[in-house]
Amino acid sequence: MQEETTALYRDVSPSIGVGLRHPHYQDALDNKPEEVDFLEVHAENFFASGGIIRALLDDVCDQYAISVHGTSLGLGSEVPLPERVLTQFSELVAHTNPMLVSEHLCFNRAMIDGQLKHSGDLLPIPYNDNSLKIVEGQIQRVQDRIKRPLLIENLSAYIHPNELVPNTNDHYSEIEFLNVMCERAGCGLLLDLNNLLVNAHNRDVEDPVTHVLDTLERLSDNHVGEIHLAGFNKRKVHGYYVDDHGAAVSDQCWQLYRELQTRFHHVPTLVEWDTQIPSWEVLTDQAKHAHTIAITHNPTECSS
Amino acid sequence: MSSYQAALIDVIFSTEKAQSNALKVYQNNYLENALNALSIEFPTVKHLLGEDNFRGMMSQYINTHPKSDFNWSYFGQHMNDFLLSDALSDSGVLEEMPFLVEVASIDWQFRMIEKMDDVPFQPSSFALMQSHPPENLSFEVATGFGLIEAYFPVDLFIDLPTVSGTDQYPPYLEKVKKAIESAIKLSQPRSFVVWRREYQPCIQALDERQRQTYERLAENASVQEVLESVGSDAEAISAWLQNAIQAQQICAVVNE
Repeated sequence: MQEETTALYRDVSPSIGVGLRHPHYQDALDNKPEEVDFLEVHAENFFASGGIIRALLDDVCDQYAISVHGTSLGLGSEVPLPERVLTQFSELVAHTNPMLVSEHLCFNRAMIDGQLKHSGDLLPIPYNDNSLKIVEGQIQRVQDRIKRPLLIENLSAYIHPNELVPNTNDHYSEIEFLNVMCERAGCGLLLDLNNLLVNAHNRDVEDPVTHVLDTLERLSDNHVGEIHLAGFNKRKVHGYYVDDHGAAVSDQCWQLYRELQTRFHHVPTLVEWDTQIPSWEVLTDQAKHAHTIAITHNPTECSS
Repeated sequence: MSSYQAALIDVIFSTEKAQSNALKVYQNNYLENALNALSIEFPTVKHLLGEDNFRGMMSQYINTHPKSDFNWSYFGQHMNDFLLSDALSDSGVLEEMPFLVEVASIDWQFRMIEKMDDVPFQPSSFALMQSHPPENLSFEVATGFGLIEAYFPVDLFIDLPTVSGTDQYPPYLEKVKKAIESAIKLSQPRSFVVWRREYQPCIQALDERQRQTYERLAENASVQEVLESVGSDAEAISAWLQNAIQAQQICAVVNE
């Protein structure tokens, strides 16, 4: 499975995408910039079996390649994924035949006094063997259903599990966990550079860019199937920078992207902007900038 | 609580503010995501209450009906139970806006209708009425077709957010107010038909005669029974049929 997964990502042409959000539905159909190769849709927004949302999705699929990005599966949850939700997710994948399918390394739900509570958020898991077992099983269950590998996105986190429940220890560093998870589950990695930066900022790291680059030295290149770029609001909430995707891609994120071109220039890259959403023109300008960086720093072209 | 996952979920859903700032971030995320979802699901309720009152009331909803569905689109499914419960008894909001329950109900119904399976509109199928006896035919109704009852003019309320901000808003609001005054005097609720025309949820108020016709449609009665309920006047039947087809309340004729 590992070799198949890697080969699949290598076959995907270098491409740049943007997240498709509600205010841009019509703009995306009316004005497709050359530099935007694909659109990412949040899976849950398109679970409806009919109506304008499904019709719009079909129109978008006619013009763009699609990346289906799940936000609610919570594959690290101790409470298993219900069959109903897995069916909705897999039907959407079958319907759209996307170039990429992704989810997050997180949990989002638990049974409290016999009642399921779903936070609708992306909550951190400890990097230990128990988490690895849970997430590996759930990823494989989804992959078996959608008949293709998933990409799993690294998370921005405001808490370490140990702070809430003592002795909820890590057995791995984040990067070690991601490497092992990809190897065991046969999935790929959606490398979110903004999430790494937000975490570094919230840990008061002196030089976040260098810190992230150093951290990524230990990441196996072959696992990375997509990169996310984004910005975040510089106003802290309760003392933390929040990964709200509410700003243009930060200078630090662009810097990381440039630095990593030598390793990941072939990897599809997406600009996320989910809150304080700008005009379609401003958003697609960000994609054009990513496109320029990918071309300028293409090591294949430089060497020829 | 031994499980870390259960412990974090418990904190996020707690009505008490967490001690740690990191946990407050997660509590805040949950609140804001939930409010955003409810704003999308209940635009008319939000319009009537205003931003601050909406946040206040919905914060109570969020505390009393924790999210259990995977999809935020279904977070508002218990809104009617909430509005009819004792949770709001001290607020006086239902005394001030007695129509709020009915408005929330139609907001929710519209969101559900938007997501339903498409029923294709097949105008050519109506030619079957020329070649087959009407007792052997039936109408296929539109996506989301159904009858509801309400005392207040929910058909007018539902357009308030759209009309708001335009020149038509002041006279439209006046019309709504007059309709509310009339509604307060009603001893029986009025009937409305809801359906989806192409992708747009629609609502139409019905008089007693129309209600009988739409009941026949909802019961999947034969074309003959439906048309008989319209009346015996051929012109009236023809006009009703033309309207129902144009509005795409009926999408096709099928041979039983």
